[in-house]
Amino acid sequence: MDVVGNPFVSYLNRYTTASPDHEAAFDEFIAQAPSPAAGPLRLTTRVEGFLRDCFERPDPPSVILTGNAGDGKTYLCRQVVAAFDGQPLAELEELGARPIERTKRQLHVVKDLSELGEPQGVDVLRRLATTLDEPSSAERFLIAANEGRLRYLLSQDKALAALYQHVDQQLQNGPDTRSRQLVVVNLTEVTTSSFVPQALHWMTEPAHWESCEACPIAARCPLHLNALRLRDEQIAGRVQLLYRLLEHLDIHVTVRDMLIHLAYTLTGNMRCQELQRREAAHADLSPFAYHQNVWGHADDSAFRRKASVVQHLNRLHVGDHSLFEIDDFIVSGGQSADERAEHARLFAPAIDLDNRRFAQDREAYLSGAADRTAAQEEQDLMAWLPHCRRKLFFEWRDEAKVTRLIPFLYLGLYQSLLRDERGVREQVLRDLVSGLNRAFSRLYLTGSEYLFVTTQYLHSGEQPRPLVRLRFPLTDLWLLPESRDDNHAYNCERHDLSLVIAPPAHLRRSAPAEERAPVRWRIGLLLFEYLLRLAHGGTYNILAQECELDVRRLKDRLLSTFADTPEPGDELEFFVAERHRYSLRRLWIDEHGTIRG
Amino acid sequence: MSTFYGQFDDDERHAVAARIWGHRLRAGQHWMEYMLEFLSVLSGFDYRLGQGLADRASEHDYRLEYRLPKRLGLRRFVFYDGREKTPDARDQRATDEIVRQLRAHLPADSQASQELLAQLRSLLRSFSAIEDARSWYAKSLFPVHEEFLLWEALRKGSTRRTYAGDAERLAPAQLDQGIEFFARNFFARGGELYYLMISAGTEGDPARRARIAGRLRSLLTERNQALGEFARIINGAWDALLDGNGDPMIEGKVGWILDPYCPLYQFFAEDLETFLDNSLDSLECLELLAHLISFQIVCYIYHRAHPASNAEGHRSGSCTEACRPQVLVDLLGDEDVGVIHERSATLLRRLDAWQIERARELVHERVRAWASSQPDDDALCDWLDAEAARYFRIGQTRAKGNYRSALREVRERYLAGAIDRAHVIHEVGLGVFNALNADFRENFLAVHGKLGRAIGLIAPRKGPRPRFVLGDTLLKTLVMANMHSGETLSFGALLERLYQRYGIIVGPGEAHDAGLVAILRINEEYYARNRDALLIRMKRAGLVTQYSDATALVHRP
Repeated sequence: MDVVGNPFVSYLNRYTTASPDHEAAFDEFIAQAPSPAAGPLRLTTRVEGFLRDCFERPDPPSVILTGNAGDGKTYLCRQVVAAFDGQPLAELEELGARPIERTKRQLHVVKDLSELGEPQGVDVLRRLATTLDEPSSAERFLIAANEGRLRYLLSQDKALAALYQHVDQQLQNGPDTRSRQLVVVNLTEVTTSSFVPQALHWMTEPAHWESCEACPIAARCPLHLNALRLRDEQIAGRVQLLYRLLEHLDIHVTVRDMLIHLAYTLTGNMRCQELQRREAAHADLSPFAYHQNVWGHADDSAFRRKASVVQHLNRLHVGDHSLFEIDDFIVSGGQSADERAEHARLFAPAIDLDNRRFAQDREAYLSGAADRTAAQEEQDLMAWLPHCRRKLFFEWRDEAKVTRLIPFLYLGLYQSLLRDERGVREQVLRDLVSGLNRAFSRLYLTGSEYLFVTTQYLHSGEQPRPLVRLRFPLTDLWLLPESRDDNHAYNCERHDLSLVIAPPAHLRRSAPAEERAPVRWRIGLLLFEYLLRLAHGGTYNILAQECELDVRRLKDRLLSTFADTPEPGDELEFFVAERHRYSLRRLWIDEHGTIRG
Repeated sequence: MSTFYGQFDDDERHAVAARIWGHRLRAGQHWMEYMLEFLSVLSGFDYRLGQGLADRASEHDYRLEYRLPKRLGLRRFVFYDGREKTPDARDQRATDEIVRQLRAHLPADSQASQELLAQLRSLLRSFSAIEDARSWYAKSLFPVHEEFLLWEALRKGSTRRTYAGDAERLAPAQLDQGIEFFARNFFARGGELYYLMISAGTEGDPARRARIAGRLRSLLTERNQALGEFARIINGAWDALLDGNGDPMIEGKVGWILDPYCPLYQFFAEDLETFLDNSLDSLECLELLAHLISFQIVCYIYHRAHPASNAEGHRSGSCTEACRPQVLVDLLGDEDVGVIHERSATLLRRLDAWQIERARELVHERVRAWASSQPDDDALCDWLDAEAARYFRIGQTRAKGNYRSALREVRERYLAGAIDRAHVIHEVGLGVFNALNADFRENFLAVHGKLGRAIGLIAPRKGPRPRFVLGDTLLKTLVMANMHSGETLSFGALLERLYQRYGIIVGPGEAHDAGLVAILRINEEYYARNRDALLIRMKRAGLVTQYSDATALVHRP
């Protein structure tokens, strides 16, 4: 039998066999293979352009790149050196020894700060600190480091305190792109979802799949079908949606992990010969559809362990739970004529539905089959449901319907807030206030007119009475969606939602010198979900492990920013349990020394 | 020879525990009461450390005694109610009088004012720190404000007799008669000891003293002022009723500690100062402070229980290395077959044994010293007996009875020539120790276990096989006491510091430093897993941030 294979599939499989433990830089590893038909992958990233611009100038700043393994630090170092030197770099290894010279500037490149021992690392940072103090110095540094190591080394020497502040400031507030002295770029802030369309576009490039024409099973090959489907913009958009979701959850996916994951989505780590053999044996190839590969396979545990994206996506359990509307659509085929047409389009026999088998099982369930019992019919069809739900997640046109497959109850609400849709804002703000009240005081308080920051003595033998330390009326709070895309240094296509809390009224009257800025608190998707569930009657344990700490920190921050010292000496507010609810009580002392309530 | 710091009277008899650990620590004191007593004493000395020492009386503006208000009015108002354990007609009348007097401070409408009082009462009651089925005079409030500091009181004879007289005919000042303040069942001088320790640790550093005292003063007087104001009004009502009769103040003198130059006291003072430099909410700050004080007292017990503990070592400072305990902390629980659990429990039991050993050694050493000053063999037995009776408090009837018969036997055998001088000394020592043993075990040995369990250093709270652990609150307390605000430490550096300071052993690094690896002979990997478990706990508590390259940095909250 003819053994025909698509070399691009083997090329993609190199991605999936790579692991984070590989010593060599990822892109070098890929570069060792012969180039595929349409050329190797070249992602256009903003950060690369920014760095190139910086270093093509006559007066470049020093740059520190921080990020995780796989974010592209080594790759970017090479590009920078090429820009600085005017020619591509042969061996990155040489850089450690001597600096690169160009027009009276010396560029010292440290491609991995963690590779240096502790004394050498501190020494490099000391030299960097000296160049900041002397603007006329001819030395410049390009340092790639991991944030943890960088912070640790900076804290080892008291003389580096100023540099630590500088670096910390840029890490927290974003890079100072106009600085002539030091720019700190944190690659973990880059939204990898921005590159998903580019990567998919390249992977599904028709030129790479031309050699499939010669294959005997071309029309029945799941990989070929995957490439066809993923070429579609809507489907690629749904893949990007998943990556955006991870970013909402504050999970950073490195570029390498994304490439590995997308390659696996296409090929499922299957080789052409293997597929031909299985097809000849009439095996069921539907598990290798892209909409199954994307979550990883249960029996490929080695890959699952390595691929962090798959681990995160698995926790979403998309398709594992039944949603009536979706299941009904799958089974019954839709109500209106449009829906039925859509169903026919989506569920036409194809290799990802094991050709006719899905249609047959469905038919058997709906009308009864001669060769099966009723129980068997139901079982056969039910086994298809998770598979079909996942297929619909990518292929059904109506996005609002399929986001319900993601188990966040309030994801839709969160997304509409990010798009700055005003209709829901008022109600959501009330709900957030209610949720925060409950989270702070650990009591199921019922009001949402005020945000109360309470404190209580926990070990009392009696029922604790939370004292109100601060209270903020609803009018002093607002939700602020913001786009982070105005960054010149790197792609950050992200919208963040923040809750802004203005200082209490009596502090606003103080002199401008003592003015306190409003507190801005970023609410990620998990926190949003936690607070809204709490507001709508959920219990404290859901998402508590992930979110309690952030809530605690907000409370501490509000107290330390806004609570008065010394505190007012003549009034007290506290919550008391009444028959059906908690009510707010007040005790105060008037001018005559009388206690009033 | 040990030196003393505090109000030491050479003529008094003391328990053997006091001769080693100062006067005094006692098992009946609740863990919260160490902090309560300490703050009361500090407030009684007007927020000045280093007061109360007998040999400084000549200094300008020096206080030999601490003075506190009795605050019986507040106490009765908050704690005396229908469910009181030892009801007394006098206290009932006093409470009624206070309520009547408070009406002057309330609006005229009686329905509203009754409700207000009830609310006020339940609010104050919600701050009760120790209820514990005690009588009203032994309950305490959490010290959210200085006005909440209540000193232990006792109505003499209240558990045995009921008052038969007519309370209605007594004047208010007479209602307070019979209540005394130095029963020392609960405020058993543990807080005074802590006051002395911090004072000793800041001798020669007046700036640090001022900072510590200043912060505590602002913690107690500048926060929660509304609550303090309410308490003041209630007390004021009772004082108005007393109308100048009776003495509203309590006066007391502190106990004493040994070896004031021991560097441990300086460490305690340093930790306390670092801890107090925080911006926590006052309620949380006080709770963590109670944990810190209890923890330091446990460390103090272990430090002086060490076999290598002696006066010269404490004076020279070599005790820092020599007397470091080995506190192996079990963070794995019962996963991994409880290997560390076992070893940790063994080390904890060893600390009990060490304390008993120290007591025994002290007794024998004293007896030998007395014997060497009495060369006359015939008078030896009586001389030793007399010295022991003068020096120690030979306990209760049964112990005393056994002691007497043991001594008699020794004397007979000696006179019969059956044993020689050395034997006599040894036997008398044994006899004395046995007589003191019961009291030692009952009243002192349980202190470290009780405190440790309350603060999360020893687990389980109730149950067999106790071993060392580190609760989340205690972890937070230790981080706050060992790092300045804004400081960053690597996780490894923090563990190193906890070992150097307190002898806490978590991971393989400290286990090697302590020589524990060779002694315990368990696979080093268990220590590594122990360390990882602590890292996870601290991350969950928000104390540590771990970056993607596994660098773990500790932050001070």
